[in-house]
Amino acid sequence: MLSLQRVTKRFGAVTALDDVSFDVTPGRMTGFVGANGAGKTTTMRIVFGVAKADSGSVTWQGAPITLEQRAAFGYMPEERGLYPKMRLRDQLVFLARLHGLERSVAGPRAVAMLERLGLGDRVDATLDSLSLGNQQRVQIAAALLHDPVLLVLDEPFSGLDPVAVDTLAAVLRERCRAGAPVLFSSHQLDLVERLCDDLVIIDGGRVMAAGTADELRRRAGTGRYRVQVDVDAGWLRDVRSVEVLDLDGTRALVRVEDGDDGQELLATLLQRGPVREFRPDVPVLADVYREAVR
Amino acid sequence: MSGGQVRGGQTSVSTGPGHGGVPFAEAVRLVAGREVAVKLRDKGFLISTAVTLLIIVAAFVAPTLLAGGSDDYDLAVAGDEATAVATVLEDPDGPAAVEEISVTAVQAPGAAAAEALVTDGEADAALLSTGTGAAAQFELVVENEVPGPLQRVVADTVATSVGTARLVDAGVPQAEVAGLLSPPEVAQRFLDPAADQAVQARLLGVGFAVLFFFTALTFGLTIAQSVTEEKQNRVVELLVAMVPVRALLVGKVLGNVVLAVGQLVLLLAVAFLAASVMGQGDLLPLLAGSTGWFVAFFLLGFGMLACVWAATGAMAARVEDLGSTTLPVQMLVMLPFFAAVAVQPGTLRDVLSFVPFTAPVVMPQRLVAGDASWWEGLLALGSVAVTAAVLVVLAERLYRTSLLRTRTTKGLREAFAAAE
Repeated sequence: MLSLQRVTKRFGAVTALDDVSFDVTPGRMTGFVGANGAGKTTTMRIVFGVAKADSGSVTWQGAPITLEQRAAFGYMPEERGLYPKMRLRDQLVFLARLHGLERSVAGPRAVAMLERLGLGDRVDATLDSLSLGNQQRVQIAAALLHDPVLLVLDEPFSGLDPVAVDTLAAVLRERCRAGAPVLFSSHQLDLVERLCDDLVIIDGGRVMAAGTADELRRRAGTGRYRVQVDVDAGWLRDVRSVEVLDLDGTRALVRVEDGDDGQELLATLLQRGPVREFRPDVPVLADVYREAVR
Repeated sequence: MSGGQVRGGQTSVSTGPGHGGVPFAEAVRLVAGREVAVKLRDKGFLISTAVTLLIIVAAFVAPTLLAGGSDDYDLAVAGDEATAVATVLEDPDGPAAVEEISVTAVQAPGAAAAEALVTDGEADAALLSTGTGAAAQFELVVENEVPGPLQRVVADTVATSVGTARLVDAGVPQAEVAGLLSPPEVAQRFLDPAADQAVQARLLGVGFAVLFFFTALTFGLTIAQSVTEEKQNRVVELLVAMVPVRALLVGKVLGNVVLAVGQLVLLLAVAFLAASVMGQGDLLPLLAGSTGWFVAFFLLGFGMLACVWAATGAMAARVEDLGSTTLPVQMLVMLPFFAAVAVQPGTLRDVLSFVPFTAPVVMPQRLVAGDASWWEGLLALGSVAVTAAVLVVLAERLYRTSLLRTRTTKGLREAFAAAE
């Protein structure tokens, strides 16, 4: 398990990370969600020792991370970069060997990985001869080549076409199933929703919410109901103990107070006329996110 | 794929063989190997090396070829005495050999025909004669300029020929004529027999300084560029996450030392080969005696500068900024070079031969010239080694702190301040 405890990082007067704590659990995919500048990249850089925390700790299996352990991790930095003039196979083999793979293993592994990512015919091309999307695939190959025991990927899906997105998702699930914790950041909330078991929502350098996706959804959805009646539902605004989140003619999304099971609201609605729809609302990740950073 | 095992709800990922990084020495080897492999694929590097090789070969071969081309003379001949003189001139072991020329006689039916051959460019000159024996008159006809060696050889041969005839006419027996005409030997005596060798030693020393200068500058810049590129294209984030920064620095420096020495050995080997093939191998024995010193000073001196190059490369955020961040180390290469070339034997040179930055170029000069004894050489090597050790530590600190900064570090003061 990768664990961050009370990590704080300042750049001059700016506090980039403020008391950040969360876990990335083995065998589960964790989505790291936040606006630009929220602190996702800085957090990942600190995990890899590329940036240094001012206080707090990062641990792997309960102990501080050593360089040797880190070599078994897979990392995809925010700013992509490999050697532009090197051939794909050569640079993957170079990186794999620094990760500790034998030469005899590294070569075939590099080719297999490139084939899987649809670059099987480009193994001897130089990186700078590829399109940006394909360079991105090579970057993915570099992060995954050595069967990492932990994966930390900064925006791995950005710039990928739908086919590559599916391939990457499959590879990540595979690593996950093999027992590796996987942490990745993304702005594509639908993708995070589809893939992730756990979520960490960060805003302004602070963790606003962290936990399993189901739990967070449930928490965000508590007391939310979708309502449809025959007449204009505007009158709901005047009902005490009900908060109108969204109103569209005869439809409304409302929230009742904590501990309220909604039956009182239903009774009120029925007094006014027929009720066509009344159901608890299960929020999507976008709602969870909006709720968390509100 | 290394599979994960689930035990009692606790999942762990098997760390297969090879997982957990590489030993320091292996990391250094891998980084150095990459430097070498990339450079050997670099077309620019290969072409410039090939061009340098061609220039070296040309420098040795061209003078011989050019000289050989202009030293053959076709001489049109008219008249009996002229024909006799031409026969002597054609003898490859005769007077022509003294001037290192060869003469081919072209017999012409008369003076006008001989002149026509010169006018048409068929002959370089025409030798005409009238009369015989002591009364013979000679004329050397050329288009507009008499080649010096040809003129001297013709004049000497004519003088001998006419002189012989005059002596025979005066009654001297034929057998004594040659002895009377042979010029007296002028003995040579050298007051400073080592002067010639001193010039050669000086040339050799300057030659070494030039090689050191160019290697330190070109490969130094290569190191700095390679560091900046890794930083600029962010590979460095991947690298520092798995290998120690020191392994990166040492690997880069070692890789480039290997490349620099390799290129140098290749260039020198070709130069010596060309020199000995062309019969200019005089410098070889002198060089053979000092190779050890050259190699020792080169390796230590270049290694010392290479670390500084790497550190100043790490200070630049973009390759375009290298010019300013590497300025201090450029000075460290250039100033000693100009000092080494300009300084004359004396106290100043003796002092400079122990100063760490000038020692690698000045001390070998003194050693080759025999001005310094072996222990002075070792002392100078020691001063370079100590400085190198200090610089490696400082450079590593600069490298470590500058490597992950995304903007260019302005000046050494800021870099060291960040290192605190």
